[in-house]
Amino acid sequence: MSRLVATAVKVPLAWAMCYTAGLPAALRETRRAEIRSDTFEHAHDPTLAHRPVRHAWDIIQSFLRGLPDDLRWRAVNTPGGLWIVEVISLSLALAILGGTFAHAQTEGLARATDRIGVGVAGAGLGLALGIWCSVSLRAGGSVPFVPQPAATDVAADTSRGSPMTLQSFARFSGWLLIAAGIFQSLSFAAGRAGGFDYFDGTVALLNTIADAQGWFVAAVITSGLTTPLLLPFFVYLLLASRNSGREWSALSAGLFGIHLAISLVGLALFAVLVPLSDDFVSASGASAETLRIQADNFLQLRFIVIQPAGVAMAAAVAMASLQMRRENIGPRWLTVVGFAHALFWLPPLAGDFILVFPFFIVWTVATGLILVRRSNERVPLAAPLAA
Amino acid sequence: MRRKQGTLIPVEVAILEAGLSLLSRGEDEFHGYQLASEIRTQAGETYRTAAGTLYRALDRMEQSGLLQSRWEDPSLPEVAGRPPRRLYRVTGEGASALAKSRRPAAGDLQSGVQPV
Repeated sequence: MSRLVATAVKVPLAWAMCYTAGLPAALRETRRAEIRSDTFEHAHDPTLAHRPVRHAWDIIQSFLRGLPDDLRWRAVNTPGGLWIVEVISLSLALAILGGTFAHAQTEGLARATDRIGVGVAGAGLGLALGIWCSVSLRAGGSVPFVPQPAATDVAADTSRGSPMTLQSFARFSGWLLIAAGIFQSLSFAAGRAGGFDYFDGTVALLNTIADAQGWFVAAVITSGLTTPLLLPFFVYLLLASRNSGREWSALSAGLFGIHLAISLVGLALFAVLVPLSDDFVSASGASAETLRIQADNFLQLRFIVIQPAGVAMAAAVAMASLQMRRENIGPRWLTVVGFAHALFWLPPLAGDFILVFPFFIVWTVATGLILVRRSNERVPLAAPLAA
Repeated sequence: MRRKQGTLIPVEVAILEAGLSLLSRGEDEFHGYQLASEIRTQAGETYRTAAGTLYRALDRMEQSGLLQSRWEDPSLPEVAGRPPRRLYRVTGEGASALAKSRRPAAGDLQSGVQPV
């Protein structure tokens, strides 16, 4: 055994000493003995012996990729351990969300310390919310913001022989996701063709409808279109998580609920604060300059509505991707796309919609296709999970 | 967390397949690293089962009766100059769970879609 391999072996052994510390002696010693045996066999694997660098890397890689499972094993074997992991994950997620929300509102503040302070305050609020959610779950309650009683009622009805099943609901929400993706693509393409970004495309569509139907109808139809199309999907996830007993995963639906609430407030603000000009109403078609003015007005609302709603949606998408992976519904790459999309909502990339929306479109269409395909196969879409 | 009887996740399927493959070659008991090497052989050189993932799955599968384990006779490792091995064996329940998981959701087709 080379010196490099001998050194690499010490890493998983030291880690095993750490994550088993404080456990009952029998459990601790059994695990440590098993890891000692594994690392010994790995270090003496004759198929790797002739390449010491690759051999050492193989040992380190095996250790690194197993870290999450080591921690989960420790959590399962510690009284209340799973709950602690949930508290930490949920609180950190909400702290990032809160910090981003708050930081996005500080563009008008001159002093950097003020901006940081507001961001930290937002993160603190998110952290507190995460702890509150966890304590609520621990006490046998549900995740705040999630319409859990409604989900329970729907589940009870379907169990009594209602024609609606999780499969048929998944198919329905899958088709709506595809429709949302197509709508987003058209808006994005319209905006890009006119030399604008995504929102300009939406405004172009908005103006066309407004010309015929009036401003508020246009705002409802266009700006509010994607959110209602996505709503059944998050209701489906809520039902699926309930079916698999993983109620904590209902967080994605809760985050979508936050997005929905902010969007509804935004829609009202949008209708009131961005009135159509008389010139626009009388115009038969919207010129590039008119669109630019409308887009500017639209974007002024960004820091009030779009940024927080977008971050909430991005967090919901990321959590949904994770949940789909854990429920064995979606592939790993879909989780990567979901998280990549969320990444572009965080500073310093926040608001770069040219980067955000292609990821969002890919995610919605792919998720919709997966749901439709799998519901046709009649594979259970919420397979219960291992501990 | 709740877990439906007989439902296997991918790493468990890989473990049972590798265990039965070793059994077909006359090795009715196997240790963790041997199992990892067998999975790697079956899945291709690029596939690596992380140690933490493997031992967590083995632990869980033993608790659910899919595997049985024992520590080998202490005299053997002393002679061989290595740490003692924990030896696993696929149980009848494990073999049936694998066979059931390979059937293409027959139960679901018969009973219709799963209610919420």
